[in-house]
Amino acid sequence: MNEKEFILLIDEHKSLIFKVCNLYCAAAERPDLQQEILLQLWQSMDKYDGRVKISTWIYKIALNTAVSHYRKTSKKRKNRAILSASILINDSDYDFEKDQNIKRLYSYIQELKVMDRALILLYLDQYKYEEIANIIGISRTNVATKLSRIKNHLRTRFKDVK
Amino acid sequence: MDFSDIEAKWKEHSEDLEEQLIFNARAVRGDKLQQSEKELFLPLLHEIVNVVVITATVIVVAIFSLIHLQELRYSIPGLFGSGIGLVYVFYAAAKAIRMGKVDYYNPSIVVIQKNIASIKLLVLKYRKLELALLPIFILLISPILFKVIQKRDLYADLQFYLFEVLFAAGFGILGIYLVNKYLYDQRIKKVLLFVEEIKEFES
Repeated sequence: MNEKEFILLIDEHKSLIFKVCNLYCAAAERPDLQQEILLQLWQSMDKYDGRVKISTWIYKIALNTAVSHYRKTSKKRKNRAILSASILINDSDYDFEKDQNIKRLYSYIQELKVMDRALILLYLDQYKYEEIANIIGISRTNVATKLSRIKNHLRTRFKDVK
Repeated sequence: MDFSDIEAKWKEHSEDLEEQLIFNARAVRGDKLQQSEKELFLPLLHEIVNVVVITATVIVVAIFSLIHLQELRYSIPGLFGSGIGLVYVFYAAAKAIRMGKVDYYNPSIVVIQKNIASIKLLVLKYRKLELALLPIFILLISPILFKVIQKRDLYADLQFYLFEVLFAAGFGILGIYLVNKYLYDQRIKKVLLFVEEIKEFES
Protein backbone atom coordinates (compact mmCIF):
# COMPACT_ATOMS: atom_id res chain seq x y z
CA MET A 1 0.00 0.00 0.00
CA ASN A 2 1.46 3.36 -0.96
CA GLU A 3 1.19 6.60 0.95
CA LYS A 4 -1.67 7.93 -1.18
CA GLU A 5 -3.80 4.81 -0.67
CA PHE A 6 -3.02 4.86 3.04
CA ILE A 7 -4.14 8.46 3.36
CA LEU A 8 -7.39 7.62 1.56
CA LEU A 9 -7.98 4.67 3.86
CA ILE A 10 -7.44 6.78 6.98
CA ASP A 11 -9.74 9.43 5.58
CA GLU A 12 -12.49 6.82 5.21
CA HIS A 13 -12.05 5.65 8.81
CA LYS A 14 -11.31 8.95 10.52
CA SER A 15 -14.46 8.90 12.66
CA LEU A 16 -13.51 5.51 14.08
CA ILE A 17 -10.11 6.86 15.16
CA PHE A 18 -11.76 9.96 16.60
CA LYS A 19 -14.18 7.89 18.71
CA VAL A 20 -11.48 5.58 20.04
CA CYS A 21 -9.28 8.54 21.00
CA ASN A 22 -12.17 10.30 22.69
CA LEU A 23 -12.87 7.31 24.87
CA TYR A 24 -9.32 6.53 25.92
CA CYS A 25 -7.75 9.84 26.78
CA ALA A 26 -8.28 13.41 27.83
CA ALA A 27 -8.66 16.13 25.19
CA ALA A 28 -5.08 17.35 25.58
CA GLU A 29 -3.66 13.92 24.83
CA ARG A 30 -5.87 13.05 21.87
CA PRO A 31 -3.60 14.36 19.10
CA ASP A 32 -0.82 12.23 20.58
CA LEU A 33 -2.95 9.08 20.57
CA GLN A 34 -4.27 9.85 17.07
CA GLN A 35 -0.69 10.04 15.90
CA GLU A 36 0.25 6.81 17.61
CA ILE A 37 -2.69 4.97 16.05
CA LEU A 38 -1.78 6.33 12.65
CA LEU A 39 1.83 5.20 13.00
CA GLN A 40 0.79 1.74 14.14
CA LEU A 41 -1.56 1.46 11.17
CA TRP A 42 1.14 2.56 8.74
CA GLN A 43 3.63 0.17 10.31
CA SER A 44 1.27 -2.79 10.07
CA MET A 45 -0.48 -2.22 6.74
CA ASP A 46 1.52 -4.93 4.98
CA LYS A 47 0.34 -7.47 7.58
CA TYR A 48 -3.30 -7.08 6.59
CA ASP A 49 -4.31 -10.33 4.88
CA GLY A 50 -7.94 -9.58 4.02
CA ARG A 51 -9.44 -12.24 6.32
CA VAL A 52 -11.52 -9.63 8.12
CA LYS A 53 -13.09 -6.38 6.98
CA ILE A 54 -10.53 -3.58 6.82
CA SER A 55 -12.63 -1.50 9.24
CA THR A 56 -12.59 -4.36 11.78
CA TRP A 57 -8.85 -4.61 11.45
CA ILE A 58 -8.37 -0.86 11.84
CA TYR A 59 -10.63 -0.96 14.89
CA LYS A 60 -8.52 -3.69 16.44
CA ILE A 61 -5.26 -1.81 15.95
CA ALA A 62 -6.77 1.47 17.12
CA LEU A 63 -8.16 -0.15 20.27
CA ASN A 64 -4.94 -2.02 21.02
CA THR A 65 -2.92 1.15 20.62
CA ALA A 66 -5.36 3.06 22.78
CA VAL A 67 -5.31 0.46 25.57
CA SER A 68 -1.50 0.38 25.54
CA HIS A 69 -1.30 4.17 25.33
CA TYR A 70 -3.64 4.45 28.31
CA ARG A 71 -1.15 2.51 30.41
CA LYS A 72 1.99 4.36 29.40
CA THR A 73 3.48 6.96 31.66
CA SER A 74 2.92 10.51 30.54
CA LYS A 75 6.71 10.99 30.35
CA LYS A 76 6.99 8.22 27.79
CA ARG A 77 4.12 9.66 25.78
CA LYS A 78 5.82 13.02 25.52
CA ASN A 79 8.84 11.47 23.84
CA ARG A 80 6.99 10.93 20.59
CA ALA A 81 6.52 13.89 18.30
CA ILE A 82 6.99 12.87 14.71
CA LEU A 83 3.99 14.67 13.32
CA SER A 84 3.90 18.28 14.38
CA ALA A 85 0.23 18.87 13.55
CA SER A 86 -2.93 17.14 14.69
CA ILE A 87 -4.20 14.61 12.16
CA LEU A 88 -7.92 15.04 12.86
CA ILE A 89 -9.17 18.57 12.74
CA ASN A 90 -12.45 20.34 13.02
CA ASP A 91 -12.19 23.16 10.54
CA SER A 92 -15.69 24.53 10.89
CA ASP A 93 -15.59 24.71 14.69
CA TYR A 94 -18.43 22.25 14.66
CA ASP A 95 -19.22 20.92 18.14
CA PHE A 96 -19.27 17.14 17.89
CA GLU A 97 -20.60 16.93 21.40
CA LYS A 98 -23.26 19.61 20.98
CA ASP A 99 -25.79 17.04 22.04
CA GLN A 100 -25.57 16.83 25.83
CA ASN A 101 -26.52 13.16 25.69
CA ILE A 102 -23.50 12.38 23.52
CA LYS A 103 -21.27 14.36 25.86
CA ARG A 104 -22.66 12.38 28.79
CA LEU A 105 -22.38 9.10 26.94
CA TYR A 106 -18.68 9.73 26.30
CA SER A 107 -18.07 10.55 29.94
CA TYR A 108 -20.06 7.53 31.19
CA ILE A 109 -18.17 5.20 28.88
CA GLN A 110 -14.92 6.73 30.13
CA GLU A 111 -15.93 5.60 33.63
CA LEU A 112 -15.90 1.97 32.49
CA LYS A 113 -12.91 -0.37 32.70
CA VAL A 114 -10.45 -0.20 29.80
CA MET A 115 -11.62 -3.35 28.00
CA ASP A 116 -15.32 -2.65 28.64
CA ARG A 117 -14.95 0.62 26.74
CA ALA A 118 -13.83 -1.31 23.67
CA LEU A 119 -16.83 -3.63 24.00
CA ILE A 120 -19.46 -0.91 24.14
CA LEU A 121 -17.78 1.12 21.41
CA LEU A 122 -17.89 -1.83 19.02
CA TYR A 123 -21.49 -2.54 20.00
CA LEU A 124 -22.56 1.07 19.41
CA ASP A 125 -20.85 0.97 16.03
CA GLN A 126 -23.12 -1.95 15.19
CA TYR A 127 -20.70 -4.81 15.27
CA LYS A 128 -22.36 -8.20 15.80
CA TYR A 129 -21.68 -10.17 19.01
CA GLU A 130 -19.77 -12.73 16.95
CA GLU A 131 -17.49 -10.03 15.51
CA ILE A 132 -16.97 -8.36 18.89
CA ALA A 133 -16.04 -11.73 20.39
CA ASN A 134 -13.47 -12.21 17.64
CA ILE A 135 -11.96 -8.75 17.93
CA ILE A 136 -11.75 -8.73 21.72
CA GLY A 137 -10.91 -12.41 22.19
CA ILE A 138 -13.64 -13.60 24.55
CA SER A 139 -16.61 -15.91 23.99
CA ARG A 140 -19.87 -14.74 22.42
CA THR A 141 -21.73 -15.53 25.65
CA ASN A 142 -19.26 -13.47 27.60
CA VAL A 143 -19.77 -10.57 25.19
CA ALA A 144 -23.55 -10.79 25.65
CA THR A 145 -23.28 -10.92 29.46
CA LYS A 146 -20.84 -8.04 29.65
CA LEU A 147 -22.79 -5.90 27.22
CA SER A 148 -25.99 -6.43 29.12
CA ARG A 149 -24.21 -5.30 32.31
CA ILE A 150 -22.65 -2.28 30.58
CA LYS A 151 -25.96 -1.25 29.02
CA ASN A 152 -27.66 -1.46 32.39
CA HIS A 153 -24.91 0.65 33.89
CA LEU A 154 -25.26 3.29 31.18
CA ARG A 155 -29.05 3.29 31.50
CA THR A 156 -28.74 3.85 35.24
CA ARG A 157 -26.23 6.65 34.76
CA PHE A 158 -28.59 8.42 32.35
CA LYS A 159 -31.46 7.96 34.81
CA ASP A 160 -29.36 9.36 37.67
CA VAL A 161 -28.98 12.64 35.84
CA LYS A 162 -32.69 13.04 35.28
CA MET B 1 -33.59 7.45 28.29
CA ASP B 2 -33.90 4.01 26.76
CA PHE B 3 -30.89 2.29 25.30
CA SER B 4 -32.38 2.38 21.81
CA ASP B 5 -32.38 6.20 22.13
CA ILE B 6 -28.72 6.10 23.11
CA GLU B 7 -27.97 3.95 20.06
CA ALA B 8 -29.88 6.34 17.79
CA LYS B 9 -27.97 9.32 19.22
CA TRP B 10 -24.70 7.52 18.65
CA LYS B 11 -25.62 6.79 15.05
CA GLU B 12 -26.41 10.47 14.52
CA HIS B 13 -23.10 11.40 16.14
CA SER B 14 -21.24 8.99 13.83
CA GLU B 15 -22.88 10.55 10.78
CA ASP B 16 -21.96 14.00 12.08
CA LEU B 17 -18.35 12.92 12.41
CA GLU B 18 -18.31 11.52 8.89
CA GLU B 19 -19.56 14.83 7.52
CA GLN B 20 -17.67 17.33 9.62
CA LEU B 21 -14.40 15.77 10.64
CA ILE B 22 -11.40 16.55 8.48
CA PHE B 23 -8.38 14.32 8.14
CA ASN B 24 -5.29 16.48 8.00
CA ALA B 25 -3.45 14.54 5.30
CA ARG B 26 -0.76 17.22 5.02
CA ALA B 27 0.43 16.32 8.52
CA VAL B 28 1.43 12.85 7.41
CA ARG B 29 2.83 13.56 3.95
CA GLY B 30 6.52 13.70 3.08
CA ASP B 31 8.89 11.36 4.84
CA LYS B 32 7.06 11.47 8.17
CA LEU B 33 5.53 8.03 7.85
CA GLN B 34 8.91 6.54 6.98
CA GLN B 35 10.39 8.23 10.04
CA SER B 36 7.78 6.52 12.18
CA GLU B 37 9.10 3.10 11.26
CA LYS B 38 12.48 3.96 12.72
CA GLU B 39 10.75 5.24 15.84
CA LEU B 40 8.83 2.02 16.38
CA PHE B 41 11.96 -0.03 15.72
CA LEU B 42 13.99 1.70 18.46
CA PRO B 43 13.29 -0.60 21.45
CA LEU B 44 14.26 -3.63 19.37
CA LEU B 45 17.33 -1.82 18.05
CA HIS B 46 18.36 -1.00 21.62
CA GLU B 47 18.42 -4.69 22.52
CA ILE B 48 20.27 -5.62 19.32
CA VAL B 49 22.94 -2.98 20.08
CA ASN B 50 23.14 -4.40 23.62
CA VAL B 51 23.77 -7.90 22.26
CA VAL B 52 26.53 -6.65 19.93
CA VAL B 53 28.30 -4.41 22.47
CA ILE B 54 28.17 -6.89 25.34
CA THR B 55 29.23 -9.78 23.12
CA ALA B 56 32.25 -7.75 22.01
CA THR B 57 33.11 -6.98 25.66
CA VAL B 58 32.73 -10.62 26.65
CA ILE B 59 34.97 -11.73 23.79
CA VAL B 60 37.66 -9.16 24.63
CA VAL B 61 37.65 -10.04 28.35
CA ALA B 62 37.64 -13.78 27.60
CA ILE B 63 40.59 -13.44 25.17
CA PHE B 64 42.56 -11.33 27.67
CA SER B 65 41.82 -13.88 30.39
CA LEU B 66 42.90 -16.78 28.22
CA ILE B 67 46.13 -14.99 27.24
CA HIS B 68 46.88 -14.55 30.94
CA LEU B 69 45.52 -17.94 31.93
CA GLN B 70 48.59 -18.73 34.04
CA GLU B 71 47.98 -15.69 36.23
CA LEU B 72 44.95 -17.03 38.02
CA ARG B 73 44.17 -13.86 39.96
CA TYR B 74 43.48 -12.12 36.65
CA SER B 75 42.16 -14.92 34.49
CA ILE B 76 39.66 -16.48 36.92
CA PRO B 77 37.77 -13.23 37.73
CA GLY B 78 38.00 -12.36 34.02
CA LEU B 79 36.42 -15.66 33.00
CA PHE B 80 33.71 -15.35 35.65
CA GLY B 81 33.08 -11.82 34.41
CA SER B 82 32.74 -13.16 30.87
CA GLY B 83 30.20 -15.66 32.22
CA ILE B 84 28.15 -12.82 33.70
CA GLY B 85 28.53 -10.97 30.41
CA LEU B 86 27.04 -13.99 28.67
CA VAL B 87 24.03 -13.76 30.98
CA TYR B 88 23.58 -10.16 29.78
CA VAL B 89 23.85 -11.30 26.16
CA PHE B 90 21.28 -14.03 26.81
CA TYR B 91 18.84 -11.58 28.42
CA ALA B 92 19.23 -8.99 25.66
CA ALA B 93 18.85 -11.64 22.94
CA ALA B 94 15.79 -13.15 24.65
CA LYS B 95 14.15 -9.71 24.86
CA ALA B 96 15.01 -8.88 21.25
CA ILE B 97 13.58 -12.21 20.03
CA ARG B 98 10.37 -11.79 22.06
CA MET B 99 9.94 -8.21 20.85
CA GLY B 100 10.61 -9.12 17.26
CA LYS B 101 8.30 -12.15 17.30
CA VAL B 102 5.18 -10.64 18.81
CA ASP B 103 2.27 -10.19 16.42
CA TYR B 104 0.67 -6.92 17.40
CA TYR B 105 -1.95 -6.96 14.70
CA ASN B 106 -3.65 -10.28 13.99
CA PRO B 107 -4.64 -11.94 17.30
CA SER B 108 -7.53 -10.68 19.43
CA ILE B 109 -7.16 -7.62 21.68
CA VAL B 110 -7.00 -9.71 24.85
CA VAL B 111 -4.21 -11.92 23.43
CA ILE B 112 -2.23 -8.92 22.16
CA GLN B 113 -2.54 -7.07 25.44
CA LYS B 114 -1.45 -10.22 27.31
CA ASN B 115 1.58 -10.57 25.01
CA ILE B 116 2.54 -6.94 25.46
CA ALA B 117 2.13 -7.23 29.23
CA SER B 118 4.22 -10.42 29.39
CA ILE B 119 7.01 -8.83 27.34
CA LYS B 120 7.00 -5.74 29.54
CA LEU B 121 7.14 -7.96 32.58
CA LEU B 122 10.04 -9.95 31.14
CA VAL B 123 11.94 -6.78 30.23
CA LEU B 124 11.44 -5.33 33.70
CA LYS B 125 12.38 -8.54 35.51
CA TYR B 126 15.50 -9.00 33.39
CA ARG B 127 16.45 -5.39 33.93
CA LYS B 128 16.35 -5.94 37.67
CA LEU B 129 18.73 -8.88 37.36
CA GLU B 130 20.94 -6.98 34.94
CA LEU B 131 21.23 -4.13 37.41
CA ALA B 132 21.98 -6.47 40.29
CA LEU B 133 24.76 -8.14 38.30
CA LEU B 134 26.28 -4.87 37.09
CA PRO B 135 28.59 -4.11 40.06
CA ILE B 136 29.81 -7.73 40.18
CA PHE B 137 30.48 -7.62 36.45
CA ILE B 138 32.55 -4.44 36.78
CA LEU B 139 34.50 -5.81 39.73
CA LEU B 140 35.36 -9.06 38.01
CA ILE B 141 36.47 -7.65 34.69
CA SER B 142 38.40 -4.67 36.08
CA PRO B 143 41.69 -6.41 37.06
CA ILE B 144 42.22 -8.04 33.67
CA LEU B 145 41.15 -4.96 31.70
CA PHE B 146 43.36 -2.62 33.73
CA LYS B 147 46.26 -5.03 33.40
CA VAL B 148 46.06 -5.35 29.61
CA ILE B 149 44.85 -1.90 28.60
CA GLN B 150 46.49 0.34 31.20
CA LYS B 151 49.31 -1.99 32.22
CA ARG B 152 48.17 -1.35 35.77
CA ASP B 153 48.09 -4.03 38.43
CA LEU B 154 45.02 -3.34 40.52
CA TYR B 155 46.12 -5.90 43.13
CA ALA B 156 49.34 -3.96 43.64
CA ASP B 157 47.42 -0.73 44.03
CA LEU B 158 44.81 -1.86 46.51
CA GLN B 159 43.80 1.67 47.44
CA PHE B 160 42.85 2.43 43.86
CA TYR B 161 41.19 -0.97 43.48
CA LEU B 162 39.24 -0.41 46.69
CA PHE B 163 38.19 3.03 45.44
CA GLU B 164 37.11 1.53 42.15
CA VAL B 165 35.23 -1.26 43.96
CA LEU B 166 33.47 1.19 46.26
CA PHE B 167 32.70 3.59 43.44
CA ALA B 168 31.33 0.90 41.11
CA ALA B 169 29.42 -0.95 43.83
CA GLY B 170 28.12 2.24 45.45
CA PHE B 171 27.08 3.71 42.17
CA GLY B 172 25.56 0.44 41.05
CA ILE B 173 23.62 -0.15 44.27
CA LEU B 174 22.34 3.42 44.36
CA GLY B 175 21.31 3.07 40.73
CA ILE B 176 19.56 -0.23 41.39
CA TYR B 177 17.75 1.20 44.40
CA LEU B 178 16.57 4.32 42.61
CA VAL B 179 15.69 2.62 39.35
CA ASN B 180 13.78 -0.12 41.13
CA LYS B 181 11.99 2.20 43.48
CA TYR B 182 10.88 4.76 40.96
CA LEU B 183 10.76 2.85 37.74
CA TYR B 184 10.52 -0.89 37.72
CA ASP B 185 8.64 -1.89 40.86
CA GLN B 186 5.81 0.53 40.13
CA ARG B 187 5.73 -0.52 36.50
CA ILE B 188 5.71 -4.22 37.34
CA LYS B 189 2.88 -3.55 39.75
CA LYS B 190 0.94 -1.76 37.01
CA VAL B 191 1.54 -4.50 34.45
CA LEU B 192 0.51 -7.17 36.94
CA LEU B 193 -2.63 -5.24 37.77
CA PHE B 194 -3.44 -5.05 34.09
CA VAL B 195 -2.87 -8.79 33.63
CA GLU B 196 -5.26 -9.35 36.55
CA GLU B 197 -7.75 -7.00 34.95
CA ILE B 198 -7.60 -8.96 31.69
CA LYS B 199 -8.05 -12.26 33.57
CA GLU B 200 -11.03 -10.81 35.39
CA PHE B 201 -12.40 -9.46 32.11
CA GLU B 202 -12.13 -12.86 30.44
CA SER B 203 -13.99 -14.67 33.21
